[in-house]
Amino acid sequence: MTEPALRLDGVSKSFAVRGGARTDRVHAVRGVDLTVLPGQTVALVGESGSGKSTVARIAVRLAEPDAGTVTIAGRDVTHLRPRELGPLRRDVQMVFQDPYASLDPRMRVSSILLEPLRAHGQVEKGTAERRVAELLETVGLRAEDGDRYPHAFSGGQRQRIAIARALALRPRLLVLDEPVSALDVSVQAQILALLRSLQEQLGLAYLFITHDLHVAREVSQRIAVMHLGRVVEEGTAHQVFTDPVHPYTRALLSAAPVADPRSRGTRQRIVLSGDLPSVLEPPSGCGFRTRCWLARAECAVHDPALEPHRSHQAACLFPEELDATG
Amino acid sequence: MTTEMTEPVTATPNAAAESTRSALLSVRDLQVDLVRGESRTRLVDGVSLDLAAGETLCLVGESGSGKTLTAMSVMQLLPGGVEVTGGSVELGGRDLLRATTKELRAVRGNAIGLVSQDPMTALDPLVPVGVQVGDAIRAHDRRISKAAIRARVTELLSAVGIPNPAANARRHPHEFSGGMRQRVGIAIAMANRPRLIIADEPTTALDVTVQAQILDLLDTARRESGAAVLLITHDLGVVAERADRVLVMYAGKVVEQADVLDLFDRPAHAYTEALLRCSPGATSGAGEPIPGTSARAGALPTGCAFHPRCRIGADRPRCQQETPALLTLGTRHDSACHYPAEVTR
Repeated sequence: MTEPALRLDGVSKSFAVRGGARTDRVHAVRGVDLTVLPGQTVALVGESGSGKSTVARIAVRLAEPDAGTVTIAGRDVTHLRPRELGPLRRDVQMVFQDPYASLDPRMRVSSILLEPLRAHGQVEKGTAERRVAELLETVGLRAEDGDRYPHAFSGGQRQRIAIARALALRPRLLVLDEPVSALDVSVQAQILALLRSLQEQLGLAYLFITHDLHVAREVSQRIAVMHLGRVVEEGTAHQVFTDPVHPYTRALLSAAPVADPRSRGTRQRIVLSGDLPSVLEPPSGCGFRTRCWLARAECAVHDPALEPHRSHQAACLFPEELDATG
Repeated sequence: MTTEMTEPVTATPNAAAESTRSALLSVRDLQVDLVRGESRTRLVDGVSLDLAAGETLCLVGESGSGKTLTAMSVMQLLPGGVEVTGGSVELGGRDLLRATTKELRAVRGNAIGLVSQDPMTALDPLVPVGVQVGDAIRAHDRRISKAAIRARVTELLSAVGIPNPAANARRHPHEFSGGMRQRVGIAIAMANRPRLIIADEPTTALDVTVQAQILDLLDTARRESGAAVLLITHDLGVVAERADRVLVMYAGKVVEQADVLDLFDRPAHAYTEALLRCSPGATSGAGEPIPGTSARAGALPTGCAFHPRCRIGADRPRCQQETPALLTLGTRHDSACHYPAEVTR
C-alpha cells in the first residue's frame, strides 16, 4: 500500500489572544483528520476564519499542533524541532496567495529560484544556471527571465515563479494557499492548467486551500469542507458536489454564483442569515447551528463528529433532513 | 437638495418612470488619459454607455481593462495624474464633466451613491458608524435636525439588515465583520436616495455566503428606490445572476455590450467567448485558459488589442493591423470583433 504524502490525525491548534485584561484562547483547528495520497489533489474549502490556512501551516510545519499527529510520507513530523525540519522542507513546499508579497523585489528571479537550493546545500558549480533554466521552462517561462526582477512580471507570471521556487527541491507535496485568488480569471485558468500538468509530469500531491468552490471542483479529487475549525464534510469532489450532506456545504454550493443567466430564479438558493460566528465565542454544540435552518435543540448540546453518511462523511446530527427539504 | 444644482438630478416618481425609457446616465466617447508632463497614455478609449433607472449594468473586465476608471469618471474621482480628456458624462441630462467642484460635491453621495470594494478602508476607523451615515445625510442637507438624522440613520441601518440599529450605530467599524461593514457602506450610499448607485467589486473581499446577502441587498435597494446600478465585477457568475445589461471591456475599450441573456447565449466577441470559457463554474468548457497576459496601456498591440491572445485572430492580418469598430449586430447588441460570426459558445 502506498504511503500517504500527508496525513493529519486529530490535529488541533489554539492561539492565545490578548484582549484587555484577559487572555482568551482561539481554537483555530479542532480535531482535523486529512489524508493526501501521492499524485492526488485534496481541496480544503472554507470561509475566512474556518481554520483552513492554519491547517496549511501545520501541514508544512510552520506551526506545531497542540494535539494530534502530522505524518509526511510515512514519517511522524509532529514535533520536529526547527533544526530537524530540513528533510521535511525538501518534501513539502508551500505556495502563497499573493505573488507580490511572496517574492523579494530586490532579488533577481534566478537568485529567488536558487535560494532554496542554497539553503539545502544543493547548488553545484556549473549546474545552477541549467537548473534555473529548467525550472523556468517547467513553469512556462523562458530561461532568460532569470535575469529579471519580480516587478517586470505580471501577477500570473509571478505566481509561476513562486511555483518554480517551490519545485526547486523536487518536493512530493505542495501546499497551495489560495494560489489563484489574487489573479484575473483568464490567468487563474492558466495557473490551474499549469498545476495540473505539473502534477501529471512529476506525480505531485497537492493540498489546495481555497474559498472558491468552482476552483475546488476543477482541481481536486477529494474535498474537505471546513467550518469554524472543523472538517464538517469530506468526500470525493463528485460526492460533495452532487450529494452534499452537511447543510453548510449545501449553503456554500448554493451561494456560489453560477455563470448562467438562465438558471436565475430556477436554482434553489439558500441565503444564510447572519455572519460566521466568531472563533472567540463559538456557539455550543454544532458550530453551524446559529446559521442553520434545520437546527434543533440537540444541535446546541452535541458537537457532531465526522461520520459516514450516505456515500461519504459529514459532521451533522440530522443529515437526513436534507433529503426531506432538498 | 439645498443647492439649485441638485434639482435636475433629484428623483421624482414621474422622472423615474419616464427614464426607464430614456437613459438616466449617458456616457459618450469617454477618454481618460494618464498625463505625465508631455506624455499621455490612454487608459479609457471611447467608452459609451447608457443606463436607465431601475436597471443594472455590469461592467466586466480584467484588472487594467479600465472598468473602474470608467465608473470613477462618472463621479470624477480619479487618481492623481489621471484625467478625463474627452467625451461627455450626463446624469439626468446634465453634463457632469462641465460641472464645477461645488456642483459635483452636490452630486456625489447624493444623486450618486458609491459602494467601494473594501468597506474597511472606505469607513473612518475612528468614527462610530452611525455618525458616518449621519454625516452623509448632513453633507447634503445642512438644515436637518439632529433628531431627524438619528431617526434616518436608524432607519437606514435597519434597512440594510444591521441588528439593533440604534445600539450598533454607536459602534466603530472594527467591531463589525466584513459583511456588516459592507452593509454600512451601502447604508451610506443609499443615505440620500441616490438615482444611481455605483458599486465597485462590492463583494470581492467578502465570503461567498455573505456575497449573496450583499448582492440581494443591493437588488432590494434598487427595486425599492428605482435607482440605476452600475456594478463593476470580474465575476461572470455575479454578472449572470444580477445584470440586465453587460458591457465587456478590454484594454480600455468596450469590446461588446448586450442584454445579459444575449451575451451568454450568443457572445459576439472572441474575448467574451474566451472569458466565458475560462471562468470556473461556467457551463461550458470551464477552466480553458486564455493564453498570454492582458494588454497593458501604453504598450497595446496593433489592430485589435486582443489579437495576440485570440483563438480566431492571432494569425489574421486584419486583426493584427486594423482596429475593429464597435458595431451594432442585433437588438441592443454591439461588438468590436472582425469575425463575430466565428465566435461560439
